[in-house]
Amino acid sequence: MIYDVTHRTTYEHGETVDLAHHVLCLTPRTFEYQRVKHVSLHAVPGGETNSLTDHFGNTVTYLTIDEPHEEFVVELQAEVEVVDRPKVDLTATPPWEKVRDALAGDGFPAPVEESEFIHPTAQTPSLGALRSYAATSFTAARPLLAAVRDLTRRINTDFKFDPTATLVTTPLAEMFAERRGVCQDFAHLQIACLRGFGLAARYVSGYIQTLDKDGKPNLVGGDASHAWVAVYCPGLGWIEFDPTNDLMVGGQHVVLAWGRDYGDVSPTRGIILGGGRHQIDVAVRLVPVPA
Amino acid sequence: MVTAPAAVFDEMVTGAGTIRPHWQPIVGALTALPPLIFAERVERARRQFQENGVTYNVYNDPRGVDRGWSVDLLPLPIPAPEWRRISAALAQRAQLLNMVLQDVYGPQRLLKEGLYPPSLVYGNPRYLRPCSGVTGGGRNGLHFYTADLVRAADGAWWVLSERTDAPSGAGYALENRNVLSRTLQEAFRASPVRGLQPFFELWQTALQALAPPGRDNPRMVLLTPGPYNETYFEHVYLARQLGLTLVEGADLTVRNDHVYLKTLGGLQQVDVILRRQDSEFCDPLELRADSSLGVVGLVEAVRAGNVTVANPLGSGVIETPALAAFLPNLARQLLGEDLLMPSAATWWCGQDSALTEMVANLDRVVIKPSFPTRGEEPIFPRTLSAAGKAELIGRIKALPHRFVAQELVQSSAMPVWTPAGLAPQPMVLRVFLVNHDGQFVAMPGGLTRVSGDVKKPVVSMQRGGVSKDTWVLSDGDTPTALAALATSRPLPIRRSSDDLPSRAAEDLFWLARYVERMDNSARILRGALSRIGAGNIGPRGHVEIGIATRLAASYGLLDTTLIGAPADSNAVVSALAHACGRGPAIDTIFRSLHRLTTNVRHRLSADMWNVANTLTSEVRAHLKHGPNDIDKLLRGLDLVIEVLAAFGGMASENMTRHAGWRFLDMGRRLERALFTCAVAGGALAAPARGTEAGLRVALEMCDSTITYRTRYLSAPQAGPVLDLILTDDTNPRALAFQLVATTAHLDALPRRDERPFSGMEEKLAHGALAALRLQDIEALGNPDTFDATVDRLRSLVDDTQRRMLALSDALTRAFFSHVKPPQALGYDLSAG
Repeated sequence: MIYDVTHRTTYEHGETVDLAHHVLCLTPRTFEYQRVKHVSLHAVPGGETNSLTDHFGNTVTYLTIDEPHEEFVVELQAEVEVVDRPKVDLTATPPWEKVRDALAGDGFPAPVEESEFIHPTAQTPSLGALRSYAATSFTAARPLLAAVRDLTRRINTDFKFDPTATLVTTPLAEMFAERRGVCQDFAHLQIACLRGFGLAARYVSGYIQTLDKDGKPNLVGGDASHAWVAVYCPGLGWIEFDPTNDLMVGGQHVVLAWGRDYGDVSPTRGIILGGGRHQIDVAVRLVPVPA
Repeated sequence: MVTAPAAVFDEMVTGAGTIRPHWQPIVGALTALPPLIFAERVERARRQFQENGVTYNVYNDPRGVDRGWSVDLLPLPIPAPEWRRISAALAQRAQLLNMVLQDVYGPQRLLKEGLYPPSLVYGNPRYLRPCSGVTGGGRNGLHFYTADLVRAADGAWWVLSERTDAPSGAGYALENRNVLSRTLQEAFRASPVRGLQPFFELWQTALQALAPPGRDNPRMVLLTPGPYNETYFEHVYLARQLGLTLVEGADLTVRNDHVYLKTLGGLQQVDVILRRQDSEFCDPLELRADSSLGVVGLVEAVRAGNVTVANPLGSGVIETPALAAFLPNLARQLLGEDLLMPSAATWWCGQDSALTEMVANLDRVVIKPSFPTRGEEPIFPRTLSAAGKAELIGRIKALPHRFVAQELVQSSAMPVWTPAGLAPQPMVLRVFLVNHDGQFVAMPGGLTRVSGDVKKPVVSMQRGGVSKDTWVLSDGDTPTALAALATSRPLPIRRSSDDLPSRAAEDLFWLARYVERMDNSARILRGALSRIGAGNIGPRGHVEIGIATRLAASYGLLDTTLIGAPADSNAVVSALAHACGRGPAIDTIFRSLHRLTTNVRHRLSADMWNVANTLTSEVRAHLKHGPNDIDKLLRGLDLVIEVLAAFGGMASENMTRHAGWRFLDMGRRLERALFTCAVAGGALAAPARGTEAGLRVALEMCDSTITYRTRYLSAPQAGPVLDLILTDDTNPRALAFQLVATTAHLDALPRRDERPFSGMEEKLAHGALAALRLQDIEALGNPDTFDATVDRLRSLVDDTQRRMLALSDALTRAFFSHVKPPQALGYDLSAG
């Protein structure tokens, strides 16, 4: 499947911005299930830019705008080819405790690089309440991915998608107590649960295809940036789950970047001088290109 | 794991009870001093530290930000051969840590090969991922390293902890030497003590070498978190020693991947930053977004190779005490050597065997967090109850990789002078090493600290310790301090110090404005209260008090509803009394003065600082606690005026005429111009309107009563009085004097645009002066032209006030704020 991706972010500032520094994590990754055929990132006003590969292998673009402006627009246009993930027999995966023990490794985990993702972060804290919640899925000796799939489904059932319930800054504990949030909250929640059990989980930022009018329901998040979860499974690598839509990730998802949490891969962030209050508008379109 | 022997090593006395040889010259010189003389020396040293403004700020101390530096006169002498062993051992460790650091932000081979646990990096909040590929190696390697050492019973030294992010103490060590070598001259001369100055020269060279290629005359700055940091004194002191400009994050800006210092003369490129604030806070764009201390874009500037930060950003990752458990093996793998000096035995609880050993030896260890945050104290299990121990073990087992157990090493006993004689106390020695061209070189000295309390097991300045000088002795191969002193290089003559950061100019300007506003407010309140306090207020008194209360209201000292109220009414009297010590206007001035003097402290002389301190503490307390006693309040107001006169006198007599002084003086001139306009306006407006009562108050407010009396020997008349306070530019209280001084300052300031009068502030000041000079004050003497002249003068003072306020804004735009305050931009995921 090939997609035309358009992602435009517009900041309207109440007052003039004198100087702006932006960090853009807005270039789709190329990896085994995805190939970027074409990509362009266009910003108005423009400025000095520099792109590099970050610690997680994402392409990050630094942009400095050293001229007064009231509006900032950045648009990603990309053509991305996505291939279906191979079918995984969830029940044939190792017991989750075995994976946990390997990642703990009495201080010396195997594999080392994946062990980076077992540690809690500010947005995926270690909370007793989450451990109790997830314990229902992590019964003794249950195959790892069967347990994760079950947790994905439970989160989707127990939590309500509600764009008005949380902000980027809402603590996970609060979201958990209120039982509502958006894709980023769902992803953080599942990641925190998995790390609470000593498993390696990462946050994936990207997009999901909207299915149109022919009777099928729209998938939530179709017109916005999306986020989901990947969990490390020995022998298989990173397997992705989408708790917002109760899905195994496949050909409908386009990956932008991954990291430990949202903070590592926020599509845009920045520090501006001046500007007053601002409004942000995000427009995402994901259009399948006929093969 | 090797563990240190129990029992105690005595620094001064051998087991056989004899004085160790390297102590003998010191003890000899000291015992020759009569006890009274010695006590006097102790006092002299204490006073010297106080006068030099040496402080160590203690967090959460209700006494505020300043605590005096506590020192003990007796130095710790270290013989040359022993020092060679110490410095070689620490150079080896610094080298090793530098290699580990380079690997953490580079290939992470050491993690992949299992040489130390990955969670010490991945689970470490001080591992800063944006620094990957940036920190480590070459100009971005470890620059400065410190180690805290203790000496066990067998005389061997052990490393307790190491600092690699923004280590402190070298400046305090130098200041200890400067004061104590003079205090204990006899002992100092009797021992071949090595000097510290060559180390600081070496350090300076090492910093220069960090400049990006092609920057021959690099600009170097010391980045401080500011005056509220615990070691701010040292930042100021080190900046002077190393020839660095002292800056805060807000003084720097990144443009085009280069770092610039915002100075009065414009943006100046910065090449090297000696960093004294924690890495995490250095760039809100890529590190902690909530930091207000950082420089936006700093990481990107380092990445581009246009600036070097030392120590490199993120080097706090290797400060974890857990690393000590793995250093012996790392040394063998990376250096092919054994460690020359061991760490106190360390168990990282993230390993089952270590956890078990920790539990078995609980009473013999101290528990530390693997990743300490500020305010986190080490725990001494042996001081806990059985329940406390069980609770601690439970906490550790829940998150074992977050904890480290370190063997309690019985530190050596160091004699400390007390009035009752010498008392032995546990001691820690901090040693400093700088990376000079790839080699770590130790400062031949150190910061010796004793706990100050025998019962306290931890030695820490934060917890009230006492420090000592450390004398590394020469055995002939190295020059001694006295020799170095005799051959110190002559300094080139300079007429100015470094470029003044815009923020410092702004602080000085506002400091002077608040000083003057305080003086003005005190004069207004004194004018009203002295008339009330005298009792028997006649009709003239009522008019004069009325004029003063109007002024007070215009300065926010009194509520405007009190204008016109009977002068001796309870409401007016109690409102005036309240305004003196507790009113919001005075409170704002006092708080602003405290904040600004703290900010610019290192630019004020110790005397000026003391004067400001007296005002904001003692005088303020005096005014606050005498609300109903008019006499006491009047004495307080007199004190305010006297103390501020001393401050002004020192500014004019003791400060060199650099740009900072000009802003200080301009602040005063501008505020006084505003006040004089307000006073003249009060005398010209109804109800006073040029009458004798109004003129009398005006003369008093402008401190010109005596001048008027000696000049005219008659009752106040409108023409002569207004000439004296408005147009007479020989009167330092007159409006003309303020405007003349302001224009002179503006003409002398550095500018990017060389054309005269190109700046709005110049136009405003010269315009106000020209308008004033065109006034015909003598027309007030003619009854026919009196009214028209009064009206004209009133509009002149109103107009001048407006110009002065606009001038302050114009100065701000032209010289102070190159940028507005930063704010973080987020991203909205609400629909996803």
